[in-house]
Amino acid sequence: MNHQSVGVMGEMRIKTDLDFADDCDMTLPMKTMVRITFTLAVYSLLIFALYTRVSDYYDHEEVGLYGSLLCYSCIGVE
Amino acid sequence: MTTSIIAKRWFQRLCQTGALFFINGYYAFFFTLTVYQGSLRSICLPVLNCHSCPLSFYTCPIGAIQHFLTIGTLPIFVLSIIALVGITCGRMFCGLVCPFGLLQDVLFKLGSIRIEIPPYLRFVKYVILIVLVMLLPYFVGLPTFCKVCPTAILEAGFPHALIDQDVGSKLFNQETGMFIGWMFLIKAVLLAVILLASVNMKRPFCRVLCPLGALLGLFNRFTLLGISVKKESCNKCQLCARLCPVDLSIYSDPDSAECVRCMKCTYCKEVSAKIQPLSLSMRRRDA
Repeated sequence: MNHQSVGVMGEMRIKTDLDFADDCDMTLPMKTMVRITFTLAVYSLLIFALYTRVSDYYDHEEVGLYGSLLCYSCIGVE
Repeated sequence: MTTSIIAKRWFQRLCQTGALFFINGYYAFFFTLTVYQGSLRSICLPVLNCHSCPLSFYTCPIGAIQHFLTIGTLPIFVLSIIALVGITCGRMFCGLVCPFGLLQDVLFKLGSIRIEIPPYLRFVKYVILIVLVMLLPYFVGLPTFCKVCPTAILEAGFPHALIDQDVGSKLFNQETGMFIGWMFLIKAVLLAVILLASVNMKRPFCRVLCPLGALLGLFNRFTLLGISVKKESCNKCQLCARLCPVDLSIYSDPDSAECVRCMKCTYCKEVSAKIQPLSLSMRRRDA
């Protein structure tokens, strides 16, 4: 931490870390707040997704995609 | 050219080429003539690589989103994988991994005439994401983007039509040799237009049409891996724009949703990659 000598009414004193802390704006910038919120949301989502047993979730064969693993829409068959 | 630039250039080429063979590495298809059906299929990498491609290991995230929406299920796992990659490195998978991006980059090197893409066209991909990937599959119950996806016809349509007789019989009338349906033809024409455009335009599909790019681009502003520009010493020489595969002047907006994080702009000494940790930033009030 930087220390800085300042003159106050003719006397010298060392500016302390506490003084510097008083001068600082401790509020988070909006971008950092959004980034933290986003990251937490993403990790929460991933944990939730894993909790819901992904493998079972993927065994759905109703539209034939993961059953046959061939998507006829992709191939171009009508 | 300095050694670091040569190294960066080779790194990008190796990433793109390596990813092409890593994602499409199921060469057992040539012996079995059946697509891969193992457990890797339940993982989707955030690149537009068709899961019906005979050589593909992984699921296409856009196909998977549509699949779950057609059956009325929220695609939580797919979205969380996309979000995890997005929050970590933004659209880097578009720039360094996506095989269709590599194809467009290669085609652009062949062209001599250069055509600029109007900036307002970039909003088309958001419309495609919302309408074709989300709303229509949910309400109509069909994977509508897959029906027009040019990547799918290239990676799955043509190979299956040539190799798989069963699929071929569904596409062509064996006696007349004519198309049975128009969907294959429409997709083939769309692919041809995109490939021809790629010769004279930088990544037209990624910039105008790709719904996955639209989704990943939303994270570019909040990603942990960012790009830093020394604005005080940058003389706006446009070197970054000339190198950029999406025509972006990185000094104007380093966190743009259009940036594919290929890191080519870091060839300029005023531009560098930066890790943006989740640290508290302390600002002086009098600063």
